[in-house]
Amino acid sequence: MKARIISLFFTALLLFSCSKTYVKQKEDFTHNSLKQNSESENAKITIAEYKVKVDSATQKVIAITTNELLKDKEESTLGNFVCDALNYSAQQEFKNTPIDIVLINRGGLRVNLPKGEIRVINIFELMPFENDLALVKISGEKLLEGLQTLVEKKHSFLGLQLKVENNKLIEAKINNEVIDKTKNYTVVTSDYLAYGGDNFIFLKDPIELQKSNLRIRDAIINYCSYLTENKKQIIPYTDGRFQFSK
Amino acid sequence: MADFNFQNRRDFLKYTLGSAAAVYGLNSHAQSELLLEKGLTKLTILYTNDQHSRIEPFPENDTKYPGEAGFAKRASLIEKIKSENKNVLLLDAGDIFQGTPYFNYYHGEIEYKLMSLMGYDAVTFGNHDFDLGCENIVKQMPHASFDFINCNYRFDDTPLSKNKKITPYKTYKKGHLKIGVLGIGIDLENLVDIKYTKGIIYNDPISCANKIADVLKNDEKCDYIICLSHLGFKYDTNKISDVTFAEKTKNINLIIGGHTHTFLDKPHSILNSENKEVQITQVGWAGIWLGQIEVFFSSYNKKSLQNNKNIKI
Repeated sequence: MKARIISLFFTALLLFSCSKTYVKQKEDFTHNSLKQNSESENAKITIAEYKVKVDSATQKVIAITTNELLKDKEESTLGNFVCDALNYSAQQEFKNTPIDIVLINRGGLRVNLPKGEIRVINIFELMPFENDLALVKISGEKLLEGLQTLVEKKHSFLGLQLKVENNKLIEAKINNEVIDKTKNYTVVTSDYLAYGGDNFIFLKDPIELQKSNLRIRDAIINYCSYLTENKKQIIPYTDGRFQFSK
Repeated sequence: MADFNFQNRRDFLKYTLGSAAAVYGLNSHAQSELLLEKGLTKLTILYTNDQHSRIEPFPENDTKYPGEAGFAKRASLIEKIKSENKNVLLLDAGDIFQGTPYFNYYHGEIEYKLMSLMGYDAVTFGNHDFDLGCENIVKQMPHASFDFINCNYRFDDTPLSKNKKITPYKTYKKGHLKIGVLGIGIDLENLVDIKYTKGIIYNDPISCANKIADVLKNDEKCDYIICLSHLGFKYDTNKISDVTFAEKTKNINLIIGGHTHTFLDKPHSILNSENKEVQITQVGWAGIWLGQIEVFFSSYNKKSLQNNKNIKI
């Protein structure tokens, strides 16, 4: 009995002692047991002031897809669509420069596009970033260095044909020709990547850099409007430009 | 004296409340009422990370989170929790900006306004908060009534230089408790367009945080120290993360993280450089969850019990 009292006394001492006492909780975890449904009136009033303008600008239907555009496989329908869009807009923006390649990073494409009506809001969610369309000229040598990043991170491109076996690049062509180390090539991309963002180090310090004032998002929106004006729908496709096998 | 850890909640309750039998049958709410009656002080930590301008709930046809999240729902919930609890600290671990047209049209104004309305105490910077540069943060700051906490960025050659709202740490009095909050940010290189990060100097988070945490612990005599981090939870590479940061720092009790959009059901425990436990938590992104941790302190301000109760919005 005496021993028990002493032990309790020490326990109490320890409990309120200088050391950090601390108990992990497992059995009491109640996450998701509640679900919040009511909304704060004050917050709703604040949001309403801003919502009108945002909604009117973003709910406009700008294109129709025949099917979902997905960022799923190495070569994706979504990636191919975005490259086509940047290619179209780059031809308007950089009129005198022929374009060899279009590049966009996989992580930069934030959501898939649904089947059917595409609204401005969908493109905002796909490309929320405030990056502009850019064109860089780099040597074939640098381009070859950069291919490893494209393969590893499975970025999207147009103009290149890459074959990968067991995670090794076994064939790389540009518009169906072997890449020439000594030649220079033009690459259309975002200014963020042109500055070497997302490890696109091979684009850094290029031979030439042209920047537009056109946001990547607007470049895609413009392409959507162009298709719709010409009574075309967006048809998801892949064409085997990025082949992976084991 | 050696650290003493109770094996489980039962032991703790038994020793604290005496009669174990009376406690076991109770739910966590009733237990917490009982603990408060016994003179323990409860600190309620509410937190978000990576809100990404998700002002309105996800659309009903969203494939992953239909109808979930939304600032107005969160505001209502926080209001309720604040009305029921005395010592509430409301924090965010960065990337408040970017992700919906609200940011593209209003550049963060509505995010800061609503967070001020909810009564946020402090935030740290995420990489996306710099998406329109330091100049934009300066422009939006008048809408923010909370502190911006970071100790490893230097803004000397930027529009944020000598900004009074930015501080390496801050202490908050909650009842008789003193809570220290510090903040650390991720290396912005490769994450943010360099035209927007020009002049920002990134310093090693570990040495910066250790200096500040030492001040909070030994000079400020804080009872509990929270680090707001935008490093990211964990990586396969040797890039610094909350996990590696936690192992190499000391004096920090809780790391509220972000960046990797990781949903952690409950805090992840790590031993720090002094072999003491530090917890890492993160609640995904977009305000889909509101993180909630209740910490009970003895009358000598020693942390003694914790409830983790994240809430789906």
